[in-house]
Amino acid sequence: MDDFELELKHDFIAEALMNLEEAEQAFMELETSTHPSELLNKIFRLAHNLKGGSRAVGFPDVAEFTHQLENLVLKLKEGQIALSPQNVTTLLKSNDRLMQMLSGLKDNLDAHFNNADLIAEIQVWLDPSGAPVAVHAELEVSVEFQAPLVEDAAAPSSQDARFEVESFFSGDMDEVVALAGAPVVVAEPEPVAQLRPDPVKLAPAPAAKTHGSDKDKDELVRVSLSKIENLNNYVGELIILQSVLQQQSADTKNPLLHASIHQISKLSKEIQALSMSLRMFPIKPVFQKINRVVRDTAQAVKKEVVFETQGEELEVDKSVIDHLGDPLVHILRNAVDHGLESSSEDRVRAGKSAKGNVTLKAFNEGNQLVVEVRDDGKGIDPNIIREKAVQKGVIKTAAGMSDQDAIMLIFHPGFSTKSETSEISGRGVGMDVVKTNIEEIGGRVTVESVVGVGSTFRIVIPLSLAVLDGLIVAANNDTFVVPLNQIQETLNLARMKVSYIEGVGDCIELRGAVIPIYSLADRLRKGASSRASESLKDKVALLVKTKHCMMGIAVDDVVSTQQIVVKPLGEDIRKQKGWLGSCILGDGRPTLIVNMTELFESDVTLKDWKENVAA
Amino acid sequence: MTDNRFLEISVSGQVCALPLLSVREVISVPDITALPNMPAFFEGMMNLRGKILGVVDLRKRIFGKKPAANADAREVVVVVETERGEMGVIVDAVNRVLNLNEGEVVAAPVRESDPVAKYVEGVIKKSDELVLILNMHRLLEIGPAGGTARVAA
Repeated sequence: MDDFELELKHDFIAEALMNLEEAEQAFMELETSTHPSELLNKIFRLAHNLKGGSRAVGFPDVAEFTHQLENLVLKLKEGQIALSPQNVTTLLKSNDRLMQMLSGLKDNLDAHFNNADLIAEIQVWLDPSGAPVAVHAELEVSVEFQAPLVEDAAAPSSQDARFEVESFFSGDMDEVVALAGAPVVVAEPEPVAQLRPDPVKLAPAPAAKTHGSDKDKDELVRVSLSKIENLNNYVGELIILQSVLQQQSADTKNPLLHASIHQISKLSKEIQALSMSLRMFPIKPVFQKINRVVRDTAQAVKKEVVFETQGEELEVDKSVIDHLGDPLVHILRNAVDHGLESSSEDRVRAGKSAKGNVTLKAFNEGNQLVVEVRDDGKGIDPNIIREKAVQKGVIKTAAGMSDQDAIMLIFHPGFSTKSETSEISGRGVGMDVVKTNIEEIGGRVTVESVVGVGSTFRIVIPLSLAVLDGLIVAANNDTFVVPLNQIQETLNLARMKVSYIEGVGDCIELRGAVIPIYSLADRLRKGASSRASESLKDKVALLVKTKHCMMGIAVDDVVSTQQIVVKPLGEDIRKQKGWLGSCILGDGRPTLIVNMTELFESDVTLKDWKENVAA
Repeated sequence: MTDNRFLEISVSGQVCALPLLSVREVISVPDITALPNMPAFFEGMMNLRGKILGVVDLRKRIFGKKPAANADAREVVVVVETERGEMGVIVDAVNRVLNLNEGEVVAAPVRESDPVAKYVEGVIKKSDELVLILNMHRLLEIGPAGGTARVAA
């Protein structure tokens, strides 16, 4: 196989996988759409492209399978077969199979696949009366390709092969269909042979481009992610250098220099915003995948579910997309399988609608992305959780544990309330994996639940992982950076009355609430401590909201706020709790970014504090 | 084929060797930001042209303590690359590159009870001295094995 052919095949696979994702979305919409014919047209076009392309680059298994699929779609399109959830399922299964085949081919270009089972299923739809009719594939194909040949001749002599394909497919689809549907009498294999020498022309063009999106004239290019990452790294360097420059310029009085530096800082910020946006992708594909998962799960457990999504137009960092999919799939499966009541009778008895409601919602909150999964099912019973947790040895005793704490135990490794693993969500992957995945990208996941009313899973992820607004603070003769979004407000302790209460430690009263004060320097020096060793008099407290309470973190001084570029820490250092990463500040020194919430939210501190208050 | 080239370094008076291919560059000791709650041998992190790397003091790492200041100390940081990523190690001096013949590297008959033993991977026989080949992977392990203090329990 020469390089050209190899490249051709890989290009085809990449494009085809993209098209299949689009097709899946169309399949999903089929069920609810009131105008399915348009969707069917789209699907037909995709299937047709795929068939032609796969045959041209030499994937006969894919071609044969899509050919059968195309027949089915054609009949659906022409109304010879009525749409039903059952045949949509067949379509979805076919789409899955195609994805499997193409991913298989991606790894091994010579892979072969046996699709007899699904082809038989499709045949049953095509001819419900009995034995599958043997269709002469070659014959049909030759008819299909009459159109491209005609079109090729008529098309303007553009050098751009893709343009030709586009103009063909957006142009005379009906003609092709008419030809394909017409009775076939002549077998004419030549067109296939003729097409081979220049198969590029058959590479499936993205259907979105061929149809209806003419208003969007902005051309798109595909760029490898590593290039974008490199660009972002360099821009990060630029930002650092720029802040060094700015800091150093304080010593000089040259007005031109100041003006130039100001200009550069403006420019580099814009470049940074632009380069960061290159990594931003719409969250929509994730939601589409979820849509499918909910449908399949609901069908598998025989529940009726009304699934609603909101905010799929949001754009988030690529790494967020990569890490969000699996946790969401898991949470949604759980919501449908375990969250909702097992039968609609149960629901009606509880005074709810017969169909279960599950909502997936994404929205921005400050500098964070929030993804919420809400179901109106039976809720999580903290008592059952407590019981199971003790039984499984996750906790020693449930005494004194709040309902909320108990519910959060579902994220504990090795915890599962299911008495028997079901095929749907019992895949040996627990909620702890959800938590780990989310935490890997600096996010948090929480759940709130009311028995009989439903549960809400809430995932909070910083929107951009690479740049954040940081507050630079001094503590312990050192400089640290705290993400600005973690700090509710800063208080000058010199103007507050700091009291020491036995059992609570240092605390202040703020708007009626008692807020414990911890010293960052102490914490970083030797771990938990309830009493700040140094005088808090001349310090500044950063008000941080942790999971359960507000606390004040005392630092020596707040130096400035600055937009910082987050650099990853080494593998070993990253394992340390409470550190978000590192960054390089204006003076060129590496500085630690402290995750206040994590550093002070640790169970020890909280328990100490709580127990002490109770005492 | 295994590479038979090593970078000969001095660590607390002992002559050691690092596989040459794991060495990225040698730089003078930069500003190092200390990290709280890390083992003593972990000096902190440094800025290498915009990349942030951890820095380990090999003298503290291998021999547990920093020796008394040497009059002709030419401390340098050797930037090495291991499976754990890039890191800087502080050594007393970099001496030369050793290009060895087969048979010059022998297995080290280490004394198991010796704390240094676990960092030794082999010995190079030179006419006048023995050179220890260091196991970079173990040396730069900062996990529990290295006695990491946790920030929070």
